[in-house]
This record gives sequence, structure tokens and C-alpha cells, in this order.
Amino acid sequence: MNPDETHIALWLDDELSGDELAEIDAWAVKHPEQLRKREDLRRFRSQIANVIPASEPLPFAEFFMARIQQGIMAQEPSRSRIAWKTWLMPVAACAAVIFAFSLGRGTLAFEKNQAISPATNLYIPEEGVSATWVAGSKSKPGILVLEGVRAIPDSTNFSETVYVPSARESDQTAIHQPINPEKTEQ
Amino acid sequence: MNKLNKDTSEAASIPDGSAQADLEKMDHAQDLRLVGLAQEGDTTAYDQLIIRHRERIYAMIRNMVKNDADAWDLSQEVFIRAWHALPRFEARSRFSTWLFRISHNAVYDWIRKRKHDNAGEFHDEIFERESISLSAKTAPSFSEAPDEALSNHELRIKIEQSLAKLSPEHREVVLLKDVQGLSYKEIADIMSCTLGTVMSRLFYARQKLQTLLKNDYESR
Repeated sequence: MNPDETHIALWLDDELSGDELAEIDAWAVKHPEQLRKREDLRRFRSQIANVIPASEPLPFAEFFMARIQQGIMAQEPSRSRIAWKTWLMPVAACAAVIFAFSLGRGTLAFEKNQAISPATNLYIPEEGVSATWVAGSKSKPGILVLEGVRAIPDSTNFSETVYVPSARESDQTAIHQPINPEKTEQ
Repeated sequence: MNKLNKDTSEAASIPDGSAQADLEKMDHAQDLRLVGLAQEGDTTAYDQLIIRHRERIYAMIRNMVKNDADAWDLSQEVFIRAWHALPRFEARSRFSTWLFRISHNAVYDWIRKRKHDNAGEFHDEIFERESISLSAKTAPSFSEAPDEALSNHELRIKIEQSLAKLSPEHREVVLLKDVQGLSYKEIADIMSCTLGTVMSRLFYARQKLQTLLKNDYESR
């Protein structure tokens, strides 16, 4: 029995396997023109594949990755910003806990202006990190020293993690605007 | 929950029986692992997925749009769209096939936009379906191919020029099948059409390509 056109097309393009392949192979023995067509098609595919590459080096690959990150953040800030700052989360959590503790004890420490032992006063959720709180005074700010925090990866895009004032907010023209002496005198 | 954990067994079938198939299986498994992580918000895993697929997506789009800068922008758009659609990816096809489908949509949106500005540029004016002889061979023959007289570089230019003269549908089907090596089923999924349509398009596209190359050779 002759195979249908779909199966012949799949066979010509080497897409059949198993019993289906064996069945059409057996049929093709009596149809040498089909065997020739398959050989021609194999040669055609091979020639196309040899001269047109399936993959090509992407120009400016690093910039490409950065632009994708930017594009994702621009369209979906909440999901992506959290995701891209995962490295910051343990540090932020650690700092928040320390800050909460220091609020409870800070008033006293602020006045005494001394370092507090992290073992007894500070809760640090991340292993290998030590913290020292150096209380300030009325004229000096308090300092929280964290040691052993993981290094920030080189790939971190700081423009996405820090607040950058807009041009309008940093506009200094108002400061430099000459004051009209006549008006001030009036 | 990661959607991939429940039905990785339903993932796209990959033919057995060769070292190439084994490599493809490993690649596919690695893609699924990274997709699972990316679906949970791991952007490092998504970066890895981009790195694994960006060169194929770029090559495919570049061959479709014939412009490096547009291909670069569109490839970027594909990965941004893919990130947003990632929660809905259920591994019924290979991740690469899914990306090709997104590329297909991005390229056709781009073509539609271009058509408004430059009507007719992408019409296949050289051949119509009816102009191909009914007695034509079911598969193109390169037995009398002109390629022997051409270097690989020249041949590439000729083939690219001939591909550029095909309609986007015909060009795409040749690129997906003969360059990217996808199956009829995968191409049907990517182009949202039936297996029969893919077969018909591929048949006519190959015929046209062969005739264009032959004409070019004879005019030399």
C-alpha cells in the first residue's frame, strides 16, 4: 500500500523513525525516484545550512543584556526590581533588624557614645557577618559597622539601585539666577 | 509554585537514537531547569537562558529582517516579551521553540509596521503559487546546482539575496526548517498553522529558492 503524502513529505525530510520509517523505506526501494528526491533534498538542506549560520555572534552582547534588564524594569518595576536586588535583601534585612534593636537601646547608647557588643545586643540573620553599633552624640551621627557582608557582584547595575535625582530636582539655575537689585531694594 | 515540576514528562518529544539527540535532550533538560528557576524570579537563571539562546534568535531575526540594527532591537524585544510571558510557559514545547514563536510575532509586528511606511516591499512579487509547474519535482534538486562554481561566501550572498526575494512566510519556513533544523510540528506551532500548510509553504519556498538561484547562475 502506498503511503500518504504527509508521510512521504516527512520521510523526504528525515523526520520519521521506528516502524513508520521502516515501512516507507521498504516502499521506497521500489520507487528509486523517491530515493533520489530524498538525496537531492538532503544535499539542498546541507548546502543551505553550510552557508547560512543557525547562530551568529551578537554585537555588543553586554549592552544587549543591560538593555533587556532595563526594558524589563521599565515595564514591570515591582517584580523585576525586587528580583534584581536579591543580593541586597539579606543586607537590608540585617540592617533593618539592627536598626529596630538599636531604636530600643539607641537612646541610652547615643548618650554614652560607646560601641555595643554584637553578641549580646544585635541580631544578625546572615552567618559570618558581625555588626558593631557605635553610638553618636548630639553633634556626631551613630555608626553601624557591618563586617563580613558578601561582596557586591561586578554585574550589579548601580543606576538601578540608587536614587538618582532627576534633572529638574538638581536644577541649580534658581540659585545662580541673578537677583534683580532694583527689586530687592524696593 | 514552579509549573515545570508537575509535567516535565509532557515536554516536547525529541527523537532518540543518536549522540545529537542525547545532546539535545541534555540541552532541553538544562533549559527546563533554568526556566523553573527563572519562573520563581531568579534573574541570574534568566540571564543564562538569554545567553544560551540569544545568538540563534539574533541569527533567525537577522535573516528575516535583513538589517543588523533592527535585528538587534527585535532580539532584545523578544527576550523582554519572553520574561513577561514566562509564568505562562508550561514546557509543552522546547524553550527554544517557544522563543522562536515569540520571535515570529515580534518580526511580523515589525513587518506590519513597516508595510504602513513602505507598502509592497515584502510582497512576493517574483512568483505566485500558480506559476509553479504542476509537474515540478516534489523536492528541489541541486544535482545541477550552480554552487560548484561559487565559493561559500559567494553562495551565501546569493542564497541570502534569493531568500530576501521570498515572502516572509516562505523565507521563515526555509530558515526554520533548513537552517534551524526544526521539525514540521515545531514550525506549525511557531507559525500558528497546520502541518499541511507548513509542508505546502516549504515545498513552494524551496522551489522558488532553487529557481532563483538557477536563474542567477544562468544570467552570469
